[in-house]
Amino acid sequence: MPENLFEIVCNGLRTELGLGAEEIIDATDQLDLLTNADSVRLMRAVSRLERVLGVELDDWDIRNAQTVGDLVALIEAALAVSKAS
Amino acid sequence: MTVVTVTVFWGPADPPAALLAAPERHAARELPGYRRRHWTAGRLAARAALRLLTGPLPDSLAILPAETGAPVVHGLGEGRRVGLSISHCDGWSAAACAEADSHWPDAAAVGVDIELAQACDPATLARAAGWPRVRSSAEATRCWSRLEAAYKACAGDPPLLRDYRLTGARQVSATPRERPERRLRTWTETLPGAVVTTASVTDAVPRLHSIDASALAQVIAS
Repeated sequence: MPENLFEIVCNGLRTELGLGAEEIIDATDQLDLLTNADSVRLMRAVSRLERVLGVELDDWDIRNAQTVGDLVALIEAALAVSKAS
Repeated sequence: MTVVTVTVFWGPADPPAALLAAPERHAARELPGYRRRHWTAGRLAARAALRLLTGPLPDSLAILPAETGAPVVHGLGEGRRVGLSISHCDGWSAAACAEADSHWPDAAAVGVDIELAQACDPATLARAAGWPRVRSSAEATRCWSRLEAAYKACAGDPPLLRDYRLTGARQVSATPRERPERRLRTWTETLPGAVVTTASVTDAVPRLHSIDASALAQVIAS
């Protein structure tokens, strides 16, 4: 599991939301309140992270993810499952 | 049955928060700057849509978020139940509303989505909805907009985007597992650089009003 998973997720979000590297993203930030966030851009970010990390997230889990930390936890769980299988 | 949709192009202009009701301004202040601007623009489009649907707006009107974040109309008058949906993208806001009546209480279910014309792409649509056949960003965006509008019209516990099918030029069918099928109608209009879709459970063609930002205050107060 990548040690810097949180940073990978933040960078994926920054890329798809068009944010600069200086934009601080916190684990408690709500995904839909991030600057430039909308449903298409967030789905693009999820799609990018799935490709980069080689995981597939469940649509229901994605819908229920409220914060950046929730998204990181989802990916962490998916990575753990894929490593175990 | 009447469905009203309002679109407003703001461009870089800041939407005037002074036109909101006090509880709305209070809710807006809790949001980060970027979101606050969109939120205010959406509320103002919603006020115009409600004005065009229901007549002069009472001072008691407030459009506040439910726990899910969906907008709920308060203070419109005893016994009136109006469904409202709000959408925004860079430079634009949109709102759609419809009123339930005693014969058709579900008729107020309405959804609206506005997107920049090339906002989506085939790969993102395929990931979200499982449709591999769309080839251009423009087509993907129109499909996404129809799905999002239908999703919002299924308020409460809407099916996943993957559960929707575009079954005709204006029909969307949602078939969530272990729940009854829902059928909606969608109307997508092209705006300069954007698309807007209204979804409704009724067959009523939405009355689309594209209002200039500078004229919005007049419409709301009329």
